Amino acid sequence: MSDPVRLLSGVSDANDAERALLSSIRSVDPPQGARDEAWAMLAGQMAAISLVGASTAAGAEALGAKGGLAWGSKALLLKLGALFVVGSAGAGAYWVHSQPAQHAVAAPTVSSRAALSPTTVAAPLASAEPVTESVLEPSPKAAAALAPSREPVKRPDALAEESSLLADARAALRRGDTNTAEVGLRRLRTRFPTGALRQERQVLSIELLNARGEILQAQAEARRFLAAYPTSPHGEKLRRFLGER
Amino acid sequence: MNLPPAEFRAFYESHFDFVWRSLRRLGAREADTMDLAQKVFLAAFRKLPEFEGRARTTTWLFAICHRVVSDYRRSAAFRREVATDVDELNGRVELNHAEASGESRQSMRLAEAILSKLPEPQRVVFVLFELEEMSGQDIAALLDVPIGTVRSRLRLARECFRREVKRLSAAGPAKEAV
Repeated sequence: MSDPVRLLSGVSDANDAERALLSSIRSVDPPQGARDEAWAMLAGQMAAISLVGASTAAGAEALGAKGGLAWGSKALLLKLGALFVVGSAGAGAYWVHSQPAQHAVAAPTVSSRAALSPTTVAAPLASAEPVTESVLEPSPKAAAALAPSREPVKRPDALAEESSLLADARAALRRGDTNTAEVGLRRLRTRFPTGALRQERQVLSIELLNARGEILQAQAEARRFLAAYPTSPHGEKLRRFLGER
Repeated sequence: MNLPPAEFRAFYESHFDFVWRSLRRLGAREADTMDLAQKVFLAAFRKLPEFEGRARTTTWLFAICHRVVSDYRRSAAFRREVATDVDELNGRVELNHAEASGESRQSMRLAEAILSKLPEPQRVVFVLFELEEMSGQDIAALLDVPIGTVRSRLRLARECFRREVKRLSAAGPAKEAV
């Protein structure tokens, strides 16, 4: 028994309305820039997976088979990165670009935060996250203090929480709720000032500025970000943003 | 620096549009598709070494999309938001009188709303057959169900689709849906 004739086939009995509707959903292509944007975010999450050792990956498979891992409602990173980064290079779980590696999950101490060099912190963003502070590279001393450790990670849930907060802030911004996005970004910055997803947080802050029409501020922050992270996977997107203005 | 394999980047570039379209056709809202696409590729990144090539790559990816969207559609937030969208569309979409610039988008939203009303097993078969143009046998293999089940689901999905189109068309000229 052969397959029936497809509705969009020229010989089907579908009427014009049916054809029009089916044709419309046939070409739901992604918007311009979506591919690059998704890749930039994906890169960090893939790194978290890549840095997980073979044994932990096997654990991930086991949990995934139970339906508890791969298809959660939050980003896969929440579980992969957070659950199986334990005992591995969790400190470098985020895709490390040209920056000195930051500890991904260990709670930053007051001394480590103070050791950063916010030389331009005098010009914070008016309403969004003061990117200027966190974009800056840490001093060598701070970098050493924050360098990845081979010791077991003490807070495997931290990366999950950071990622969850970031996803919430991003979702708020996507639906145009800039106030909620700002609250989320502030919370992120407070809880994870040197978190594994710091770059993503900063880029989202730039997007927030742009969404609010604070274009010049957004451009300035984008340039500062690019100076700090010249090889970041977010670079292409930000350069495109700057080039379009 | 531990960069992702160039091969995976090439794989991503080649299939991103397909994944995006599949997610949208399976019922993902546009605003959520970016995050869902990442989930799909993360799963693919993990599973690609196990991919034995017995199915087409797109078939394999579609199966991942299906699982991701199934989970997503079960979420409370999705159900709440989609219910609002469908209510918004009901009775106030006009198929033939929209301005050209908004017509396709309006049709797309309407089609999405109709597809979202289909039970998931029927929607998947409908999308695979009508839009992805997969054969019944391939769909049966992908979903691991008998070919008879595929045809039954397709028949039911078509009936529902046509019923909804007819109902909304009968509503006549109305306000813009968007």
